[in-house]
Formats: sequence, structure tokens, C-alpha cells
Amino acid sequence: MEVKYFKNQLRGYNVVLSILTAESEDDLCRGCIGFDGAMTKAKKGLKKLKLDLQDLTAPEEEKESLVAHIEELSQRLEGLPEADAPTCMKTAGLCKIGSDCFPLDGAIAMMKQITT
Amino acid sequence: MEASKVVDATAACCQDTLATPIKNAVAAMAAGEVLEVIITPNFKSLFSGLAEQQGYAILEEMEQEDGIHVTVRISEEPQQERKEDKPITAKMLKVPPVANYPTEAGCFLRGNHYSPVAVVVLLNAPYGTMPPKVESIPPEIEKLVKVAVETGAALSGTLQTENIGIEKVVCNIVGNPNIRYLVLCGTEVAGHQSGSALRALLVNGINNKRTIIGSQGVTPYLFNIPLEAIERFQKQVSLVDLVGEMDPEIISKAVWCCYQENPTEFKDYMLHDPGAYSEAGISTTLTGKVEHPEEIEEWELDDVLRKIEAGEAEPSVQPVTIKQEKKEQVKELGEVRIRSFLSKQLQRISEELRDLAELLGEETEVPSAPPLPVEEREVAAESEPSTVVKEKPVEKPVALEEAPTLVYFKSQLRGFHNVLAGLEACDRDICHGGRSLPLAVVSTIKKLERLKAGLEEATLPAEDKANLMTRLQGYLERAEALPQEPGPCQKTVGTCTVGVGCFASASADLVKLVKTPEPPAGIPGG
Repeated sequence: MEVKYFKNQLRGYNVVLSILTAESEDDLCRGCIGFDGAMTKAKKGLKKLKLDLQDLTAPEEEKESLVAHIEELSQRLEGLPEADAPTCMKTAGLCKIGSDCFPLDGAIAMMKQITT
Repeated sequence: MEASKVVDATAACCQDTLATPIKNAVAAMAAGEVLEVIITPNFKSLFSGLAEQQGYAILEEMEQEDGIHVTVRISEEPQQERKEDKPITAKMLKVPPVANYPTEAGCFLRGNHYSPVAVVVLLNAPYGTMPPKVESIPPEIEKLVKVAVETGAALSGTLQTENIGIEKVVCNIVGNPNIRYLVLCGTEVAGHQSGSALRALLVNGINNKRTIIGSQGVTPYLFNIPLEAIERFQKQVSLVDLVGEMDPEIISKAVWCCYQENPTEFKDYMLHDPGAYSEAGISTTLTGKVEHPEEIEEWELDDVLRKIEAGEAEPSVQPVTIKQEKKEQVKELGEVRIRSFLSKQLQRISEELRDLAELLGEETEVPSAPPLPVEEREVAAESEPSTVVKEKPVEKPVALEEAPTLVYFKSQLRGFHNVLAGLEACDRDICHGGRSLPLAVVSTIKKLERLKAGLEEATLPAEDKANLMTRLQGYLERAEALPQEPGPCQKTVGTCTVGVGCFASASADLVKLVKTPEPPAGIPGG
């Protein structure tokens, strides 16, 4: 893996995190199981990125910079509020946007923009 | 002891196919000679009955890879005097299930536990409409579950997930050795592919990463049950694969065929009750070590397995001799530990009684007693009434009815809330000086203005309208603060290396996730 890969991933997670932050302000998304799942995916994605970084051959300074960026994003993510007992808001009849889900099909799916 | 003849009866599928080759061999043998018969464990009890009836003295039984090798000595009694016409009164082996059967709660009905068949109806419903909200199960699925128990299934319930759901099925089936068939029916569960996962489990088992081999599900991981239970499940039951079948009559026929004494044709299957599995039931419950297997990524599997092994080599299995083991353990404990042990036991009993009280309060319609195989009738009076076993209910959020016009604007604004967050994140990135972000911003502003025009014309309560307008105006202002003058494409310049995708365009498209409701008639954009 190259440094470019990590930089692109971090650019993606930056957008994901901003959207998740917005969703945490939305009463419906915040208590939704979809948001809960998206948060888990984002946390794990960053964790995996950090693990993969160990195998990266790059100047130490650059690696440290990437680690710092990952940790900053992880901390922001950890700071987002999460419901104790999330439930599917579509099933509850509260989320009426149709079959898609903002956290999963919007925020997390943003990472699919990265193809290289 | 050297046998004069060997009969391989492992291909036997019924009493006739078992008895005929043996009798033929015996007919050519002299009294006192030794015959070796190879049988499958399923036919052990039937063979014992045959031996008793024919007067063969069983000398030795040895379990080998190819089956059970039984050596018998042929009786000195003249063959013509044997009671040829008497049906083989093989004691159809029926055994009581484990004490805490069914060991796992779930959405199922209980029937007669001496029945040889359990039915799993696939629950293809949106996530959330699942147990414990039993009332939200689609009626056609509920009907299948009921029909199966009414016809005579020991257990009949729904299955949604390819991990925890299957684990619960395994626990409840290995706890009852009488269950020899698993009828799998209903429409395949979208996404989970639980039907294919269950089928694959029976055929292929799991690999060393506790993943069902050949499953099409996304997370077919069985982390919470012992390997012993999985192996037993594979050996104990045969699958009657009716995935896609929603006709109650066909399900009912399948169940009925499973408890016939003689092999009965059903579709491509020959079904009959072979009696209980040759080994005692396994009492096991989910360990809860991995409560959300659906969240496990493939790259985490090794780590998860290591943790499972570190915590405990295997999830705990309680064989039926558990009471004896517990007695021995208690003897070894000091007084303090005994108190602690008893306290925990009492607490558990207290919790179970409370759950039971709740269940009794919620008891649903009790299906009429199913017809039972002859061997079961004696115990019918003792069999427990069928009840719906529910998990603890959760509070259901209250949905208020809102006018479609109001829902439309609220949903659109939720979409734009996401769009703005995405665009603003892009603005803090290299997209700021690029081409796509301004284009996405301009497009978003146009959409917001169109929505604003629509909101102005919409017939809504004044307060709702004012609130929506305030939010919409806020989004417009945030959008207008973003770059609108296109710069060079960052991909062309070589700065953006993400590939063909574009964060800014994708952010603007987030509003497209809002598919319903349709824009109200007469509103711009409608």
C-alpha cells in the first residue's frame, strides 16, 4: 500500500465523519439502528486503517502524520452521541424517506467514491 | 469373534430394507453361527427389535467409521418357528429432551416434543420487524408457523439472521434428540440469505473461522455455540428443503410425512420417523461472546477467534449429566462458594419465573393438539401446551400521522442536512479550489430555491411552515457561503487521486436518498 491510499481513505473518512455528525443532530438518525451500524463501520474502518499503516513503508514522519490524522478522526467519531437502545426508525414508522438509509447508504457509502 | 457372514445394512431406509438382507443371510446360515451386521446409528433401535424378534443374540457392538458393527449369534431355534408375521416391535426410541428445552428463547411455537420434525420459516421482513415484536410478523408467515405445529411439529418458528438466528435453531434442536427433520420453508431472507446459510451448514458445516462454508449470507458466523453442537446438528437432522414454499398445505404435508412409521414419499424425499437420535440431547445456550456478529469484518475474524479461545476454549456445553456434575462440583466448594452458587441459582430461577409470568400474561392462541404418531400417544397427556416463546419486549417508538405535504418537506430537509454537511467537508479539503464542488453547490442552491418556492405555496399549518422555512433558509445561507466559481478539475491537475468517484458530487446526490413521499401535486418540483 502506498501513502496515497491512506490519504485518500482519510479524505473519505473526513467526509463520512462530517455527514455522521450532521446525522447525530437529526433526532431520527441519532436513535436509529442504521446510524449505530454506520458508526460501528466507521470506527472499524479507521481501526483497520491504523493496522494497515503498520505495514506501510514510508518516512517515519509521514507515518506519524497519518497516525495523528486517524486518531483525530477516531476521537471525533467517539465523541458523537449514540443511543443506548437504537431501533429501526423505518420499522417504527418515523423515517419516511423510503428504502434508503442516510447513515449507511449516504455517509458510509461515501467511501465507495474511492476506487484507486 | 470371527463372523461367518457380514451384511452391510447401512443403505437401509426403513424396517424392510433393514430386515430383508439380514434374514436372507441368516437363511443360509446354521444355528450358532455368527453374523456381523453394519448399520447406521439411526437403525440401532430398529435392529435391536429385529434381533429380539428373530432370536439373534447380540454379542458385540462396535462403532466404526462406516457405521455400527453388531455381531450376533444365530439362534438354535428352527427358523420356521420364528414369529415371521409379527411386526418388528422395535421400541421406537423416543427420549425426553434436555431439562431446559428449548434452551433458547425466540419466536417459535412448541408442539409435542416427541415429534421428529421442526419447521423453520424464513422471515423475509425489513430489519426490525422481527422477534421480539412478534405481532409484526407478516400474517402469511405466522400462518405457516401455526400450521406446522398444528400438524405435529415439535417446534415451528421463524428465522431471520444467518448467525444468531441459526445458532438459536441449532441450540433448540440438539436439545431434543427426537427431532430428526428440519423443514425449511418460506421466502429467502433478502440480504441475510439465512435459508442458504442453514442449508450450507447442514451440508458443509463450518470452517476453522467459524464461518458457514458455502453460505451466501454476509456474516454467516457461528461464534456463540460449541462445535460439538454444530456437529451434532449436522448428524441429527435431515433437511427437507422447501425454501420458496409458502403454501401451508405443502408444509403441513411435509410435517405429516416426517412422522409416519413407514417411508412416505414427499416430493424428492422418502420420509418416516426413525426414532430419536442415538445420543443424548445437548443442553447448550448462546454464550453471548459475540453479540453482534453482523458487525464483524472479515479481517477481524482471527482476532475474534483468538479472543473466544482465550476466554474459553469452547462455549460451554452442558451434557444431560450436568446435574451429576454440578453435585460433584458443589461438594468441592467451600461454604462461601456454596452460598454464592445457590444465590446465583436462586436469582436465575427468580428471573425465569418472572419471565414465565410475563409470558403467561401474553399467551397467545393455543393451537389444537396435533395428531401424534402411535408411539407418542401415551405421553400426549404429559406434553406441554404450545406457547409462543417471546423475548423481552422493547418499547416501540410512537409514529404520529402527519400530512403527506409536511412529511415531504421534512424528509427533503433531512436530505439537505446531509448534503450540506458533505459539501462543507469537501470545502475543507482539496475540493475547495476544484471544479466539482462549485458545480455541486450551485446545483444544491437551485434545488433549495425550488424547494423554498414549493414550501411557500404549500398548504401547511403556519407554525410548521415557519419552522420549515427557517431551516430551509439556514441551509440556503450555508450553501451560498460555499464556493460557486469553478476552478480546475483536481483530477486533471493530478491532486485528486481517488479514482473516478467524486466526494462533492456524491454529497450533492445525498438528497436523492429521499425517495418518498412523492412531491405533492401543484408544488414546484411536484
